[in-house]
Amino acid sequence: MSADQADTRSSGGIDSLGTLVPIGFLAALIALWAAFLYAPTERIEGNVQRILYMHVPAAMTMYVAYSLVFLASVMYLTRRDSRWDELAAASAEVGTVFATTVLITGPIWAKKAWGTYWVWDARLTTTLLLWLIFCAYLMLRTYGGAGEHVARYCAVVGIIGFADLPIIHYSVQWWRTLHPEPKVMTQGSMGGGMETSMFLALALGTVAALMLFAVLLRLRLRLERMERRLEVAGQLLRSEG
Amino acid sequence: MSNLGFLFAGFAAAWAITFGYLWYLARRTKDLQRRLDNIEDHIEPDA
Repeated sequence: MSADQADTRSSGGIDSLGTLVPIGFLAALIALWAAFLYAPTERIEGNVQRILYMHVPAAMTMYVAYSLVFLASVMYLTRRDSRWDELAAASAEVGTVFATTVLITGPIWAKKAWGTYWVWDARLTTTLLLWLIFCAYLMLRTYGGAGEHVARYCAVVGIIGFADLPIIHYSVQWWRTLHPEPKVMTQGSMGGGMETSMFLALALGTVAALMLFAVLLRLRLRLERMERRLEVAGQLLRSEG
Repeated sequence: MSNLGFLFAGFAAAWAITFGYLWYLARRTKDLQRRLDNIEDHIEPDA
């Protein structure tokens, strides 16, 4: 067996993720404890407000994932190194998982807080637009076929998608919206608009979500490399036979 | 639905998405690994 084959075959299990999985599991348990037991119950909304500890960390992780897509796409377009393309593909898919979480937990919370699941508010609409852009990105990856041109188109779509992130972030300041203005990162301070225990619970939730992102990204990257390896092996087999 | 019902629905949805994606990744990895092993076994004897 060649060294390459040995590498591919040994990468089948979760063991290659090392200490990331147990630490991530512990972080998730601590985050759940903080969300349900440590953080106080909000006076007006009551217990439903605890969705914040899942919704906001998912949104922040989505920002990180799509920023990584942007970085990897720019690097791919400038260096033409396929490893950047692999990273962009993996990060886009995992980012879309977090974006889906944001778009599902948000309306559930909104139904109780605003009395409706959905309004065509600037923050909600631009987030939905981002999700649709990255769905298009993933469809291009899936159905666009193989080849450098698909990687190039995807890099461009990834960069266009990223341009929506600052619009999402500032939409609550630029337009009158139902979605509340940021309380976590207010001008000049972190957590300035929140009670300390709530901010700590949110911070723990964000750490756990980022660790989950790291685990999912590594698993997805491994899958991406296997797919590309399979493609090369298939070509080799076809050329021989 | 009560306040706690919405809270449960929110967290359940988030975890369902996460575990659903993990299951999808595991299934795809297993399938690809099988196909890769198959194809590499065909190439190996001639290599």
